[in-house]
Amino acid sequence: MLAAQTYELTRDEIVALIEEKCARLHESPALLYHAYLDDELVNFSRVSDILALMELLEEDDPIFSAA
Amino acid sequence: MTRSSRQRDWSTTLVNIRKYDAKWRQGGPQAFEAFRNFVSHLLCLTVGAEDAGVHLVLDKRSREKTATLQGGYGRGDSAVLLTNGRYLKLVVSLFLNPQAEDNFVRVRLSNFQYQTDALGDDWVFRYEYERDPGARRHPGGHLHIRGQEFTCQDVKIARTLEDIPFPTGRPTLESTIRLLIEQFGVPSSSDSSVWRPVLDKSEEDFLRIAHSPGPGYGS
Repeated sequence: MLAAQTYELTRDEIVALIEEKCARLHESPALLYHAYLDDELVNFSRVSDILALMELLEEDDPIFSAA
Repeated sequence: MTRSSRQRDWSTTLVNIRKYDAKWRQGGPQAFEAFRNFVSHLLCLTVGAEDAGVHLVLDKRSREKTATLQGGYGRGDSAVLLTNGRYLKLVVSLFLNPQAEDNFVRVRLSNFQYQTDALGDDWVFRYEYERDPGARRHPGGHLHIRGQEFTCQDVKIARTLEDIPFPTGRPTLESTIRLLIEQFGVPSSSDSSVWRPVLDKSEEDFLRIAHSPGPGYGS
């Protein structure tokens, strides 16, 4: 078996992880999310890990509407 | 890959693969961890490096509804180190549908990308799946191949070759692993007489119940 971890994170910890990953890509979480919804992502794979983390949050989470 | 590792006794791994495969298919919140363990054992048997890892992330508030499985150790990484020193980006977004009569785990999106670097800037191919592509300009399940040159000069394409989403039906982790071993020469930790029937069986069982991706393009 490979190393296998499970992390139970709070909403704030998930948001921090999303923001950290977005910062590496010089992206805003809200802009990225809306680019995804609007089918404007150039490379889905580049951000699929971020989108998967966003799926853990409630649909009305403030991170999706932050400027 | 050393000869000794290929000849190692895989019986415990095979038992665990069967156990966790059956457990995650049963559904329910415990299926998330079972899926994590299933994938971990499958990669251990095949193309995962000894010090590679996978991790599951749960939201404390909705830990019984959604989860995301990713490669790496959870320090912001999402790629599994392979036996050849390259990487497989692994992302699977899982959820339970409270409206469904069953309690089976479903996949919202998945991404399997072969890449030479940990961050994925230098990628080779990638399978992408979205459960509901809606009006997107690509099919729900598709393949991208890294390539700039298109040798047939008379054939017009709308985008660069690597931007074309070739429809695939439902991408599976098993077929991705098989492709890595058979076509890209990634060494398997076990012999083909061991890994091949395991991949064939689990893929067959998965495709029997798997959601078929929609055609996209607004269909």
